[in-house]
Amino acid sequence: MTWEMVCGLEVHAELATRSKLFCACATAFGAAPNTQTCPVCLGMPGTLPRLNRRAVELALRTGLALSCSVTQPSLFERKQYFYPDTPKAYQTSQFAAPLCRDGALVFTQNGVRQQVRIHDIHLEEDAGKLFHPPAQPCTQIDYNRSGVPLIEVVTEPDLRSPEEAVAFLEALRETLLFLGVSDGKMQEGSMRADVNVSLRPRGSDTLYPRVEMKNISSFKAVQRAIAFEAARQTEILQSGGKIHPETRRWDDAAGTSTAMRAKGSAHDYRYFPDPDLPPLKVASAWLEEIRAQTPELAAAKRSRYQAELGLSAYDAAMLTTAPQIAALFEQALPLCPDAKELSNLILGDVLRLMNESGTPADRLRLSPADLASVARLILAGSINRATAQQVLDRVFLDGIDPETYVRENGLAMVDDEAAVQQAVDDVLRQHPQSVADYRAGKTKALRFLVGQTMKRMQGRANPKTVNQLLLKALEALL
Amino acid sequence: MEKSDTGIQSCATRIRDLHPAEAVRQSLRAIQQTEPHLHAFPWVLPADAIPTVEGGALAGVPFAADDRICTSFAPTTAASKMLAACTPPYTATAVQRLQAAGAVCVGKLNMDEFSMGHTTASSSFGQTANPWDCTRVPGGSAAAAAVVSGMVPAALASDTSGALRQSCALCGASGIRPTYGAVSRHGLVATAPSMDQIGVVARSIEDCALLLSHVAGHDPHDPTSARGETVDDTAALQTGGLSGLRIGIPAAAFGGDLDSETGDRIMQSARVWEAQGATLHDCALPGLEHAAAACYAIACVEANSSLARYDGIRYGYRAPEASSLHELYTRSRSHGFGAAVKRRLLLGALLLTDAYRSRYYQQALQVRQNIRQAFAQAFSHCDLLLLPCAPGTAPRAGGEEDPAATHRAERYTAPVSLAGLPAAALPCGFAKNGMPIGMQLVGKPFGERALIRAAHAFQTQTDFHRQRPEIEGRTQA
Repeated sequence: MTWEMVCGLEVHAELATRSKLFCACATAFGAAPNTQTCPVCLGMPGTLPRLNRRAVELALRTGLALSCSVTQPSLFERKQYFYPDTPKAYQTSQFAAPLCRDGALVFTQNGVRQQVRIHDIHLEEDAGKLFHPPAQPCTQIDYNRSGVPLIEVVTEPDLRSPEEAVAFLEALRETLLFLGVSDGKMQEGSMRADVNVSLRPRGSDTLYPRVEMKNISSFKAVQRAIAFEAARQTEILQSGGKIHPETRRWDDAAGTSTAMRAKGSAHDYRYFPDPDLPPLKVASAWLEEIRAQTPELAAAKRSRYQAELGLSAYDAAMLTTAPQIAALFEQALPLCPDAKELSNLILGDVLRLMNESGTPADRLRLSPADLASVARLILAGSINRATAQQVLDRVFLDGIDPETYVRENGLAMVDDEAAVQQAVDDVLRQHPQSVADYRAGKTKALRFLVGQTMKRMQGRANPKTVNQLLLKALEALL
Repeated sequence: MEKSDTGIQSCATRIRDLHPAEAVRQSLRAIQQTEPHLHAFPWVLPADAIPTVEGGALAGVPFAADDRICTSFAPTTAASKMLAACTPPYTATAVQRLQAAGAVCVGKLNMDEFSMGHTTASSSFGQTANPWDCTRVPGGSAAAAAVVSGMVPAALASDTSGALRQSCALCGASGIRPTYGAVSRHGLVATAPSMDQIGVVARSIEDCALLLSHVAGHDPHDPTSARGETVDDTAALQTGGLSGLRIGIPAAAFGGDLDSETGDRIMQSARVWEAQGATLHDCALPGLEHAAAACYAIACVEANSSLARYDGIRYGYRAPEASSLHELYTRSRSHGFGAAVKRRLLLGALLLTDAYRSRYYQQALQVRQNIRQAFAQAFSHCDLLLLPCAPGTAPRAGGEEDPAATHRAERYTAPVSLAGLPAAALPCGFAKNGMPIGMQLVGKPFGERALIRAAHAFQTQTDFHRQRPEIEGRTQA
């Protein structure tokens, strides 16, 4: 009996709004505990929720981008359970009538086109965070996160392997990033995934009891958790056992899942429509506006960069690793229409600088105008590549103006042939061994001689001229 | 019985000739003298804390608010140990609006714990007395008792399934429960959010209209508060005959368990409108007999949800020495809530479980739909409906606590809450036992104007609302 793994995901993403779903408290990550709270998100008696319009807009933007239909009206419901991170003892969510339904995410995995159906996308509020200080017999609660708006993206059980699940998550994350809906940082908790895994005899199309797994905090962990669970269930089934629906907790360090303590088998959340929030109807004019203002997705950019700008697939992929990189590129393009040159600078220098300085894409402060400036200087022959790197370093780290910097530091390429000739002559005289090596056929010697010449010219010679004159001089010595 | 016409408007007028704080001081003196007999005020404004009154249409008018209405200057406990001594950091919109008009809040009023009852017996502060007979109950809210006994001329009171209206009937006060959404619920401690409303209580419909005109209106803090609907009602006070007004009297609401003296009195009262030109019509309200049960079921379900937040973790009563999270929850909630509340919470939890949901909760929702339609149908040929308000006069206090009794007591007010309609409670006579009899006039959604017009017209021809109880042992202010 071969078993086929069937997997569905429930992905929670924090929406990139300034304030919470039902109150004006800030959503910024990293504030001191309980400094971004108010009576509403603390669930104090007599308070009422006020729906954040921007949160609805971002949720709709996501639903439209994933080809969902919008439920009119959608309803907010109370999902009821007791836990200290949930101040009202219910989470305001959506259940019977979620905002968006019946969509799909299309993506490529190893060059193959995949499609995963989206069951629904709904809005809900996040809970607070619990801390268990090691030395104290208590649990501390930070309500800063309570009330932060989330979308939950629920897939149909269309995934068939751990790798596929990861590919889906990466594609979803990329989509959310490029839509400007969420910053998708699993490590910061702004994106979380629960997985549902079941096995069935290959060839069957019924769904078997599934096991849910929580506490998965990275894409790699998703892969490991699914693989583990599939193996665990296979073993049980092969020895004649049965799988019972349950929720398990994934422990990535140990690489195992454990049954969760009596949080209930199939907890009855006693959903009912929240009387404090009227049914949500979305005006079609607003929907059209959202549709029209939807940012271009990464896949579309990659196609466009290749088809219209003649960039390679590799370059296009690198330029779309983050929306901010693509934006830098696209905003510099009108100022310096040489796409290849800009791409070179970004791939060769900007990404390197970001890596070296530990700057993530969402904190990139390099202006497109400055980048274009550097590119133009190279194209005009004013500076060579080595100088360009130096200039870009300074622009990136200190925010200097490229043209001013080049001028003030005399970095412009020296096109004085006589000076170059002088340098060439000096170098050849000083390095007879290298000359001999070159004549003996060692081309490495040429590179050394070029380097030495450039050094003499304080890096400001036009490399083409150096090469030209050096070769000519070497020929003459033969 | 004594007569007095200290209405809010005359109160506000007199103040211009007196020191602005004088009316407030008079009210505090009346409270001081009367409280020992009635026990209506869990909190009273200290005499040295009277705020400076700047101005406004209600400048210097003293008012009270019941203990479910949040006030940042006074504890708000919903008469429950669960919220004992809790003072909210915000004030309800309705209170803010009265304060903006210059009125001064002089006290918080007693009620049943989380309004779950009809006698104030379950209050953590203890029972309030009916000013007409201190051995009897004042109804589910002490607002009517406070107003009728002369302690305050105006009060804000919550009405979920009828406490405001029922207590007006039992104490001879006038009150209005507005259309659902007409008055902001921001700052009202929720029990059943789809039915909770803040209403007004005073000694006359005229005063009620004045108060309502200040508190009603859209509030961005309350997403269920209505936009664009006006309930500006003071214009409705001009008299001049009621010809053309059609008042429906549903036979189904009379008879049965209704005290016969009460029923007769209300029927006779209808003639007052007839004499002013209105016409009386039979009407049907099919399903009325199921309304109280459906209201109770829905209220229990919603209250179970609304009261789940009380666990002692962030505020309120916290059981000492709980050794686990589970114990913290169960002990805090078992000890913090009284028996009547717990009963409803348990029932509310049960009714929403998979096993019972369709049999009870879904059915209750269907009954609610039916009642709404029944009212709409009645309003297609009537402008107002006349219903009883309470099943009889005020019962004696200290009776055996019978869960079904509240159910019965709300029989005439619950249907109105289910349908979200506006209703006025006003006195229409006295029983042989000397206790007031009240009646309930129900209007169309946002039809407060017609409601007020008819109720006020009744009060121009009668003086039941002007009667004042003599409270044994109290010297009059």
